[in-house]
Amino acid sequence: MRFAGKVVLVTGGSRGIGRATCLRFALEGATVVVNYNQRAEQANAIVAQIREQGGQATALCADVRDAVAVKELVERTRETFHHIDILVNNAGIIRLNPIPFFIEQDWDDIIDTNLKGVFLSTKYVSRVMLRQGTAGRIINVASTAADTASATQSAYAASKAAVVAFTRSAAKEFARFGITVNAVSPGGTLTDMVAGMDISPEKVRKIVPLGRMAEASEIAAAIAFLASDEAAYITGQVLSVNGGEFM
Amino acid sequence: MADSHVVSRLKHLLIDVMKLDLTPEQIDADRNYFQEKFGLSSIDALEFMVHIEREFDVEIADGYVRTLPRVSLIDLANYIEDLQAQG
Repeated sequence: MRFAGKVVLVTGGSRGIGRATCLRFALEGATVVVNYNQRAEQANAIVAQIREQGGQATALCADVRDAVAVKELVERTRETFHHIDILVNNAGIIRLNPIPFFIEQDWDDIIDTNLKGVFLSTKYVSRVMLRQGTAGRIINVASTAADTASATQSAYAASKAAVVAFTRSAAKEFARFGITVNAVSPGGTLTDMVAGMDISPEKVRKIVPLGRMAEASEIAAAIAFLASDEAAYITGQVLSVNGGEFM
Repeated sequence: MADSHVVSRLKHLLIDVMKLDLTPEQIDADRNYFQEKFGLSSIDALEFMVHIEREFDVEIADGYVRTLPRVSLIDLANYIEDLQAQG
Protein backbone atom coordinates (compact mmCIF):
# COMPACT_ATOMS: atom_id res chain seq x y z
CA MET A 1 0.00 0.00 0.00
CA ARG A 2 2.14 2.85 -1.32
CA PHE A 3 -0.13 5.60 -0.02
CA ALA A 4 -1.27 4.28 3.37
CA GLY A 5 -1.69 7.22 5.74
CA LYS A 6 -1.49 9.77 2.94
CA VAL A 7 -4.17 12.34 2.18
CA VAL A 8 -4.67 13.21 -1.47
CA LEU A 9 -6.79 16.01 -2.89
CA VAL A 10 -7.90 15.50 -6.50
CA THR A 11 -9.49 18.48 -8.21
CA GLY A 12 -12.10 17.62 -10.80
CA GLY A 13 -12.28 14.17 -9.30
CA SER A 14 -15.81 13.25 -10.28
CA ARG A 15 -15.13 11.84 -13.75
CA GLY A 16 -12.59 10.84 -16.36
CA ILE A 17 -8.94 10.96 -15.35
CA GLY A 18 -9.87 12.52 -12.01
CA ARG A 19 -12.21 9.67 -11.16
CA ALA A 20 -9.65 7.04 -12.15
CA THR A 21 -7.03 8.86 -10.06
CA CYS A 22 -9.26 8.90 -6.98
CA LEU A 23 -9.92 5.18 -7.32
CA ARG A 24 -6.23 4.40 -7.88
CA PHE A 25 -5.08 6.29 -4.78
CA ALA A 26 -7.82 4.71 -2.68
CA LEU A 27 -6.82 1.26 -3.92
CA GLU A 28 -3.31 1.96 -2.70
CA GLY A 29 -4.39 3.08 0.76
CA ALA A 30 -4.74 6.86 0.51
CA THR A 31 -7.51 8.92 2.03
CA VAL A 32 -9.06 10.67 -0.95
CA VAL A 33 -10.77 14.05 -1.19
CA VAL A 34 -12.85 14.03 -4.35
CA ASN A 35 -13.28 17.64 -5.41
CA TYR A 36 -16.10 18.42 -7.83
CA ASN A 37 -17.84 21.50 -9.09
CA GLN A 38 -21.21 20.44 -10.50
CA ARG A 39 -21.37 16.66 -10.48
CA ALA A 40 -22.20 15.91 -6.85
CA GLU A 41 -23.93 12.66 -7.70
CA GLN A 42 -20.90 11.28 -9.54
CA ALA A 43 -18.51 12.45 -6.83
CA ASN A 44 -20.63 10.85 -4.12
CA ALA A 45 -20.78 7.63 -6.14
CA ILE A 46 -16.97 7.48 -6.18
CA VAL A 47 -16.84 8.08 -2.44
CA ALA A 48 -19.38 5.30 -1.91
CA GLN A 49 -17.36 2.95 -4.10
CA ILE A 50 -14.16 3.71 -2.20
CA ARG A 51 -15.86 3.21 1.16
CA GLU A 52 -17.42 -0.07 0.03
CA GLN A 53 -13.92 -1.28 -0.75
CA GLY A 54 -12.82 -0.33 2.77
CA GLY A 55 -11.18 2.95 1.85
CA GLN A 56 -11.63 6.45 3.20
CA ALA A 57 -12.91 9.30 1.04
CA THR A 58 -15.05 12.39 1.03
CA ALA A 59 -16.48 14.61 -1.68
CA LEU A 60 -16.05 18.37 -1.42
CA CYS A 61 -17.55 20.93 -3.78
CA ALA A 62 -15.46 23.87 -5.00
CA ASP A 63 -15.10 25.76 -8.23
CA VAL A 64 -11.33 25.87 -8.81
CA ARG A 65 -11.69 29.25 -10.52
CA ASP A 66 -12.87 30.80 -7.25
CA ALA A 67 -10.14 31.70 -4.75
CA VAL A 68 -12.52 31.80 -1.78
CA ALA A 69 -13.95 28.39 -2.67
CA VAL A 70 -10.51 26.83 -3.15
CA LYS A 71 -9.26 28.25 0.14
CA GLU A 72 -12.31 26.78 1.88
CA LEU A 73 -11.80 23.43 0.13
CA VAL A 74 -8.23 23.27 1.40
CA GLU A 75 -9.19 24.38 4.91
CA ARG A 76 -11.96 21.79 5.12
CA THR A 77 -9.58 19.10 3.92
CA ARG A 78 -7.03 20.08 6.53
CA GLU A 79 -9.62 20.32 9.29
CA THR A 80 -11.06 16.92 8.43
CA PHE A 81 -7.89 14.95 7.77
CA HIS A 82 -5.27 17.15 9.51
CA HIS A 83 -2.77 17.13 6.64
CA ILE A 84 -2.50 17.11 2.85
CA ASP A 85 0.29 15.06 1.30
CA ILE A 86 -0.60 14.96 -2.38
CA LEU A 87 -2.38 17.41 -4.65
CA VAL A 88 -3.52 16.39 -8.11
CA ASN A 89 -4.51 19.40 -10.18
CA ASN A 90 -6.77 17.66 -12.63
CA ALA A 91 -9.83 19.91 -13.08
CA GLY A 92 -9.99 21.02 -16.67
CA ILE A 93 -12.31 21.82 -19.52
CA ILE A 94 -12.03 21.99 -23.29
CA ARG A 95 -13.96 23.98 -25.88
CA LEU A 96 -13.16 23.88 -29.55
CA ASN A 97 -13.54 26.69 -32.06
CA PRO A 98 -11.46 28.37 -34.74
CA ILE A 99 -9.76 31.47 -33.34
CA PRO A 100 -11.77 34.03 -35.37
CA PHE A 101 -14.95 32.52 -33.92
CA PHE A 102 -13.67 31.74 -30.44
CA ILE A 103 -16.04 33.17 -27.87
CA GLU A 104 -14.22 35.36 -25.37
CA GLN A 105 -16.13 33.88 -22.45
CA ASP A 106 -15.04 30.38 -23.53
CA TRP A 107 -11.42 31.55 -23.61
CA ASP A 108 -11.74 32.97 -20.10
CA ASP A 109 -13.45 29.84 -18.79
CA ILE A 110 -10.70 27.59 -20.15
CA ILE A 111 -7.84 29.73 -18.86
CA ASP A 112 -9.51 30.26 -15.49
CA THR A 113 -10.26 26.57 -14.97
CA ASN A 114 -7.18 24.96 -16.51
CA LEU A 115 -4.55 27.49 -15.43
CA LYS A 116 -5.84 29.76 -12.67
CA GLY A 117 -7.37 26.71 -11.00
CA VAL A 118 -3.95 25.05 -10.88
CA PHE A 119 -2.44 28.20 -9.41
CA LEU A 120 -5.12 28.61 -6.73
CA SER A 121 -5.06 24.99 -5.59
CA THR A 122 -1.27 25.00 -5.52
CA LYS A 123 -1.20 28.31 -3.64
CA TYR A 124 -3.44 27.13 -0.80
CA VAL A 125 -2.27 23.53 -0.59
CA SER A 126 1.38 24.57 -0.64
CA ARG A 127 0.74 26.73 2.43
CA VAL A 128 -0.46 23.62 4.22
CA MET A 129 2.43 21.49 2.95
CA LEU A 130 5.00 24.12 3.92
CA ARG A 131 3.66 24.35 7.45
CA GLN A 132 3.56 20.57 7.77
CA GLY A 133 7.25 20.45 6.96
CA THR A 134 6.89 17.02 5.37
CA ALA A 135 7.54 15.93 1.80
CA GLY A 136 4.69 16.93 -0.48
CA ARG A 137 3.74 15.95 -3.99
CA ILE A 138 1.96 18.12 -6.53
CA ILE A 139 1.00 16.60 -9.87
CA ASN A 140 -0.55 18.75 -12.57
CA VAL A 141 -2.48 17.24 -15.43
CA ALA A 142 -1.28 18.86 -18.65
CA SER A 143 -1.88 17.54 -22.16
CA THR A 144 -0.04 16.65 -25.35
CA ALA A 145 -1.96 19.63 -26.72
CA ALA A 146 0.79 21.69 -25.05
CA ASP A 147 3.31 20.24 -27.51
CA THR A 148 1.35 19.43 -30.63
CA ALA A 149 -0.60 21.80 -32.82
CA SER A 150 -4.29 21.10 -33.27
CA ALA A 151 -6.63 23.46 -35.04
CA THR A 152 -9.49 24.76 -32.89
CA GLN A 153 -7.66 23.94 -29.62
CA SER A 154 -5.89 27.28 -29.18
CA ALA A 155 -7.22 28.09 -25.71
CA TYR A 156 -6.88 24.55 -24.41
CA ALA A 157 -3.35 24.18 -25.81
CA ALA A 158 -2.30 27.56 -24.42
CA SER A 159 -3.68 26.72 -20.99
CA LYS A 160 -1.89 23.35 -20.89
CA ALA A 161 1.42 24.78 -22.12
CA ALA A 162 1.11 27.34 -19.33
CA VAL A 163 0.50 24.52 -16.84
CA VAL A 164 3.78 22.95 -17.94
CA ALA A 165 5.62 26.25 -17.43
CA PHE A 166 3.91 26.71 -14.06
CA THR A 167 4.93 23.19 -13.07
CA ARG A 168 8.62 23.90 -13.72
CA SER A 169 8.57 27.22 -11.90
CA ALA A 170 6.74 25.76 -8.92
CA ALA A 171 9.16 22.81 -8.83
CA LYS A 172 12.09 25.19 -8.52
CA GLU A 173 10.33 27.28 -5.88
CA PHE A 174 9.34 24.36 -3.65
CA ALA A 175 12.34 22.05 -4.10
CA ARG A 176 14.14 23.30 -1.00
CA PHE A 177 11.06 22.45 1.06
CA GLY A 178 10.88 18.84 -0.09
CA ILE A 179 7.83 19.38 -2.26
CA THR A 180 8.06 17.97 -5.77
CA VAL A 181 5.97 19.34 -8.61
CA ASN A 182 5.53 17.40 -11.83
CA ALA A 183 3.07 17.10 -14.67
CA VAL A 184 1.49 14.20 -16.44
CA SER A 185 0.73 14.93 -20.05
CA PRO A 186 -1.95 12.63 -21.39
CA GLY A 187 -2.57 12.04 -25.05
CA GLY A 188 -6.04 11.13 -26.25
CA THR A 189 -7.78 9.42 -23.36
CA LEU A 190 -11.14 7.69 -23.27
CA THR A 191 -13.13 10.11 -21.14
CA ASP A 192 -16.31 12.17 -21.39
CA MET A 193 -14.17 15.09 -22.50
CA VAL A 194 -13.32 13.47 -25.83
CA ALA A 195 -16.63 11.67 -26.26
CA GLY A 196 -18.07 14.49 -28.31
CA MET A 197 -15.03 14.89 -30.55
CA ASP A 198 -14.67 13.53 -34.03
CA ILE A 199 -12.08 10.83 -33.30
CA SER A 200 -12.54 7.61 -35.27
CA PRO A 201 -10.56 4.42 -34.48
CA GLU A 202 -8.94 4.75 -37.93
CA LYS A 203 -7.78 8.27 -37.12
CA VAL A 204 -6.40 7.13 -33.76
CA ARG A 205 -4.48 4.28 -35.39
CA LYS A 206 -2.98 6.75 -37.83
CA ILE A 207 -1.90 9.24 -35.16
CA VAL A 208 -0.96 7.02 -32.22
CA PRO A 209 1.83 4.43 -32.72
CA LEU A 210 0.33 2.17 -30.06
CA GLY A 211 -2.87 2.27 -32.08
CA ARG A 212 -5.39 3.21 -29.41
CA MET A 213 -6.39 5.88 -26.96
CA ALA A 214 -5.38 5.65 -23.32
CA GLU A 215 -7.63 4.36 -20.59
CA ALA A 216 -8.09 6.89 -17.78
CA SER A 217 -6.59 4.31 -15.41
CA GLU A 218 -3.34 4.40 -17.39
CA ILE A 219 -3.04 8.14 -16.78
CA ALA A 220 -3.89 7.60 -13.13
CA ALA A 221 -1.05 5.06 -12.88
CA ALA A 222 1.44 7.69 -14.05
CA ILE A 223 0.05 10.23 -11.59
CA ALA A 224 0.34 7.69 -8.77
CA PHE A 225 3.94 6.96 -9.74
CA LEU A 226 4.89 10.65 -9.53
CA ALA A 227 3.17 10.85 -6.14
CA SER A 228 5.02 7.82 -4.80
CA ASP A 229 8.28 7.52 -2.90
CA GLU A 230 9.82 5.96 -6.01
CA ALA A 231 9.58 9.38 -7.67
CA ALA A 232 11.17 11.29 -4.78
CA TYR A 233 14.05 12.54 -6.94
CA ILE A 234 11.87 13.65 -9.85
CA THR A 235 10.70 17.25 -9.96
CA GLY A 236 9.86 19.80 -12.63
CA GLN A 237 9.29 17.06 -15.19
CA VAL A 238 6.54 16.23 -17.62
CA LEU A 239 5.66 12.56 -17.98
CA SER A 240 3.95 12.07 -21.32
CA VAL A 241 1.49 9.20 -21.46
CA ASN A 242 0.44 9.28 -25.07
CA GLY A 243 1.00 5.94 -26.79
CA GLY A 244 3.89 7.46 -28.72
CA GLU A 245 1.76 10.19 -30.30
CA PHE A 246 4.34 12.78 -29.35
CA MET A 247 8.02 11.88 -28.91
CA MET B 1 17.63 47.80 25.66
CA ALA B 2 17.14 44.03 25.77
CA ASP B 3 15.39 42.36 22.88
CA SER B 4 11.80 41.27 23.31
CA HIS B 5 11.16 37.53 23.34
CA VAL B 6 9.84 37.61 19.76
CA VAL B 7 12.79 39.64 18.48
CA SER B 8 15.23 37.28 20.18
CA ARG B 9 13.58 34.22 18.58
CA LEU B 10 13.53 35.98 15.22
CA LYS B 11 17.25 36.68 15.41
CA HIS B 12 18.03 33.04 16.08
CA LEU B 13 15.69 31.97 13.31
CA LEU B 14 17.27 34.39 10.86
CA ILE B 15 20.77 33.18 11.70
CA ASP B 16 19.71 29.53 11.28
CA VAL B 17 17.74 29.98 8.06
CA MET B 18 20.21 32.31 6.35
CA LYS B 19 23.21 30.48 7.83
CA LEU B 20 24.63 33.82 8.93
CA ASP B 21 28.02 34.00 10.54
CA LEU B 22 26.73 36.41 13.20
CA THR B 23 25.70 36.33 16.82
CA PRO B 24 22.27 37.67 17.85
CA GLU B 25 24.02 40.59 19.53
CA GLN B 26 25.51 41.65 16.20
CA ILE B 27 22.08 42.10 14.62
CA ASP B 28 20.51 45.50 15.13
CA ALA B 29 16.81 44.72 15.29
CA ASP B 30 15.84 48.32 14.70
CA ARG B 31 18.07 49.19 11.80
CA ASN B 32 18.94 46.04 9.89
CA TYR B 33 16.60 45.81 6.94
CA PHE B 34 16.49 42.32 5.54
CA GLN B 35 17.45 42.87 1.92
CA GLU B 36 19.96 45.61 2.59
CA LYS B 37 21.75 43.83 5.40
CA PHE B 38 21.29 40.15 4.67
CA GLY B 39 20.70 40.01 0.92
CA LEU B 40 17.46 38.16 1.46
CA SER B 41 16.18 36.89 -1.89
CA SER B 42 12.48 36.29 -2.49
CA ILE B 43 12.96 32.53 -2.07
CA ASP B 44 14.92 33.11 1.16
CA ALA B 45 12.03 35.28 2.30
CA LEU B 46 9.63 32.43 1.60
CA GLU B 47 11.77 30.04 3.64
CA PHE B 48 12.04 32.53 6.48
CA MET B 49 8.27 33.04 6.43
CA VAL B 50 7.66 29.29 6.53
CA HIS B 51 9.85 28.99 9.61
CA ILE B 52 8.13 31.96 11.23
CA GLU B 53 4.70 30.43 10.66
CA ARG B 54 5.82 27.16 12.25
CA GLU B 55 7.72 28.82 15.12
CA PHE B 56 5.03 31.30 16.12
CA ASP B 57 1.94 29.41 14.91
CA VAL B 58 0.68 32.36 12.88
CA GLU B 59 -0.50 32.72 9.32
CA ILE B 60 1.27 35.48 7.45
CA ALA B 61 -0.82 37.47 4.98
CA ASP B 62 -0.16 36.98 1.26
CA GLY B 63 1.18 40.46 0.67
CA TYR B 64 3.53 40.54 3.63
CA VAL B 65 6.28 38.38 2.11
CA ARG B 66 6.74 41.01 -0.60
CA THR B 67 7.31 43.72 1.99
CA LEU B 68 9.77 41.67 4.04
CA PRO B 69 12.95 42.96 2.37
CA ARG B 70 12.00 46.49 3.39
CA VAL B 71 11.15 45.91 7.04
CA SER B 72 13.30 45.58 10.13
CA LEU B 73 13.23 42.80 12.74
CA ILE B 74 11.33 45.11 15.07
CA ASP B 75 8.68 45.71 12.39
CA LEU B 76 8.39 41.98 11.82
CA ALA B 77 8.16 41.26 15.54
CA ASN B 78 5.37 43.81 15.88
CA TYR B 79 3.54 42.22 12.98
CA ILE B 80 3.84 38.76 14.56
CA GLU B 81 2.66 40.04 17.93
CA ASP B 82 -0.36 41.64 16.23
CA LEU B 83 -1.18 38.32 14.55
CA GLN B 84 -0.84 36.47 17.85
CA ALA B 85 -3.06 39.02 19.58
CA GLN B 86 -5.72 38.48 16.92
CA GLY B 87 -5.58 34.79 17.79
